[in-house]
Amino acid sequence: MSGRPPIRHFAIVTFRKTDRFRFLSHLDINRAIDRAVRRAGLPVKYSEGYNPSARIGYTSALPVGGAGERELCQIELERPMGADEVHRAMAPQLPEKLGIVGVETISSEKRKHISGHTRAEYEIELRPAPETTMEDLRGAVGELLDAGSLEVVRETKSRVRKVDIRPGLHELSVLEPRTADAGPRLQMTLALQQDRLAKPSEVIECLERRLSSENGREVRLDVRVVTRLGLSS
Amino acid sequence: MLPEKLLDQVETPARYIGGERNQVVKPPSEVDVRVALCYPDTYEVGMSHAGLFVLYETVNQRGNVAAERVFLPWVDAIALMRAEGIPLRSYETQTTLSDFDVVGITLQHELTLTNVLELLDLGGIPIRSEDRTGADPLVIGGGPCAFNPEPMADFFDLFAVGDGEPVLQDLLDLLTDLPDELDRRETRDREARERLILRCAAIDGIYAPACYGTDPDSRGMLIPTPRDDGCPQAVARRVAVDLDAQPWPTRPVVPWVEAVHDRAEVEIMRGCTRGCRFCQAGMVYRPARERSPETLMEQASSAIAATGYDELSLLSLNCPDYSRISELIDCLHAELAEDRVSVAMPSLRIDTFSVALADRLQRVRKSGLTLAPEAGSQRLRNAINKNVTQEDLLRAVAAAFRAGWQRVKLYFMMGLPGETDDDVRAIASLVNEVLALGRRELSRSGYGRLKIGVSVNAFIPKPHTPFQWSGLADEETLRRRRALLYEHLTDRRIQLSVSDFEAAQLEAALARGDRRLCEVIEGAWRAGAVFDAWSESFDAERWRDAFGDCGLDMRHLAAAELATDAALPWDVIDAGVTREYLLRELAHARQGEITPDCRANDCLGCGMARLVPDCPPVRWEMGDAES
Repeated sequence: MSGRPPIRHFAIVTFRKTDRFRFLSHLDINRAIDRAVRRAGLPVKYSEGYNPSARIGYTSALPVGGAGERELCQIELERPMGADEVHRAMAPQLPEKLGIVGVETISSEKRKHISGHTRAEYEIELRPAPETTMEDLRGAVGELLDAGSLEVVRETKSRVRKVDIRPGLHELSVLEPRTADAGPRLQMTLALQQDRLAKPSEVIECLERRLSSENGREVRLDVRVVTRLGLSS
Repeated sequence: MLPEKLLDQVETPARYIGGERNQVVKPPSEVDVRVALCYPDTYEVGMSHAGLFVLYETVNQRGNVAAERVFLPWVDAIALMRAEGIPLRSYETQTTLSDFDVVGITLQHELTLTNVLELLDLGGIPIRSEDRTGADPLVIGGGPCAFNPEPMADFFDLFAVGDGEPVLQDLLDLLTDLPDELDRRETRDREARERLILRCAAIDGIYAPACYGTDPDSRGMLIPTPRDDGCPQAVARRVAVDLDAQPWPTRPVVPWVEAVHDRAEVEIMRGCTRGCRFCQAGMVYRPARERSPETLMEQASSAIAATGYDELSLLSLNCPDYSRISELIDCLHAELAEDRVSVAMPSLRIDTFSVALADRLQRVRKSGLTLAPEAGSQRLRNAINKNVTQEDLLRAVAAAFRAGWQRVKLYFMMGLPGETDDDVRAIASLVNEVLALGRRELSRSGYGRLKIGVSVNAFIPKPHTPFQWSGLADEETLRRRRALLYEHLTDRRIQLSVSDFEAAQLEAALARGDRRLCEVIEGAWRAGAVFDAWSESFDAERWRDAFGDCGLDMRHLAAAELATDAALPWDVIDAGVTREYLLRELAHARQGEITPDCRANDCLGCGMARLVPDCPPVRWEMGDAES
């Protein structure tokens, strides 16, 4: 067979998963968006076969409890639509804290438009803890960035192994608390690729280890919420 | 509804976050009466219960009253809430349960009764009616267990018996128009509370346990009798005759987490008059009443549009009995297929007509087909009035195999009155016949994939049925018969599951209990019993002890044969069917005689005509005749 593949039509939807909605699982989000799309009456394309499902795809999943400011999903449409038109139809279907941030529409031969991200930016808000000062945190962050390697133990279903997350730690900084009764924040950019993946919880673990050895006692950082601010390549 | 810091520590936190699509939030300051509608089980179970949302709609359609939802958190969340001193709150406005004017709790089955006490206690309401002050809410029970309210009589101020919609309407009429001294909860004293309960008790279909005294009869059983002449000997069940006139949730609340049933629903029919002698629903929801196809089409379309669900389920005790079922299915198909909404029909009759209907609904993807022959031998099926022959079943299954089904589920009961070991062997032969049929009818690969699920439950005698006087079969007999099934059902395609006998014993003891059981239930709950319907938390020993502490024996109560000429604790409820009718049916059962459905035949004089003057409300053609 020759000839060009057909042109497909997509809506790339940026949405947030914040506040109490961060407790939704990835599957819950899929279901919620599926139903929102059906209520909105978008001409969504369905898969072929015995058990057709709406062609809606997502980027890497957030865990239960994890928040996101700019999460992505791609909805394949039967016909081209304007970004505004999609946005207007979708916006009333979801609560604000799980709301649509923006819509882009694309018509192309490509099947996937939201993959290939290599970096994710996170903000971790800590609960206030008087025994760990901003100064302590800044010191520990500096040491992490200066370190040649950062070893953590990663457990998967089948095995336990040691990994070095330093290559995956691109940026890390400490920010002042947002309000008087909130705790300090850590902002970081981490790699998403399999071979140098680093997770926010692993960075926290390294910071705790550093703070503990500095203070000569066990220091724990009490994480209130991890927010993925966005994805980039 | 839980605070954020607790959400981080519990299983499936999203079930506690609220804020779902279509929830109705009314500012508390703008309504006169606030009703908490409680389902005493987890969110996922409660959100799947259509009845709760019928009442939610009934209340919220009115301007000056509000209904909010309350579910029982799972055990991990309960432990955290108790440790932190956080009370149970509603989803819509996070109001503590004890701050509502009315707390309605649905009693769907006996193994949720300890959950009711947990729910009240967690909500800051004294569990016993007598301990409540004027400021406490009115606590009202409803649902199937209200047909024998006695085991829960001490915990409820009122019970609503029968169809909840009209009872609730009358109650709201009363409560929104009360004189000040009864209305103001802050200033209401105990005496005013009692007067309020009395006024509510005058509503048709409401039973107030406090208006009835109980003296032990010669067997020690407590039989409720009116304290004064103002109370009826028996409270007649409320019947909503015209279903089209009743509210239906056309904008149902859509859960974020996966519920037990994730689908839109319409109730096509309420009640069934086939007259199976073990079936409480078939006795206490008479007569069969239908919604019109026009109403159903409207309700289905708006429920789908408001939710985005991709499945619509037709609710009734027996969907193929709906008189215009073919027409309805065709219309729903025409309306919804384009939006890729599938239509499901969970209850089927055993005949080829039903299979043909199911085939029309599941043209593409064939999930399992469920049929309930209930008993293995013709003799016993006649005795329970399940008017199905082996030929009917085999013909229906053959039609299913030819239409492409490779998964069949068969429901049976064990320990039915008059059952012998041979009747149980007959279950095994019947299942093996179905297997042999599969070998003949299915292709080689189809036969390889064939799965026959066989689900066997212990028969549990329920109030207001012809078998209400019979006891649960003793454990030894049940064990022996279960062994027979395992011995004869050996093919790997057959998956046999038999219900837990100890849970059945508890269910039977509670179902036919009297007011003495209030103390037993409270004792079991204080000893830690909750979520008894969940095998991971059910503890038979704890229950045996709780019965023992009250001088009662769970096994004995479950197995007791009751005298047919003595009063029963649930005689205080008039479900519609009379004792004479039930006794006549019991005699027919013993003689192995069947009783036809009154929809196709003459009136059987079951007693319903006393409650519904034009019974049956519509004279139907019997189903769509089988060709």
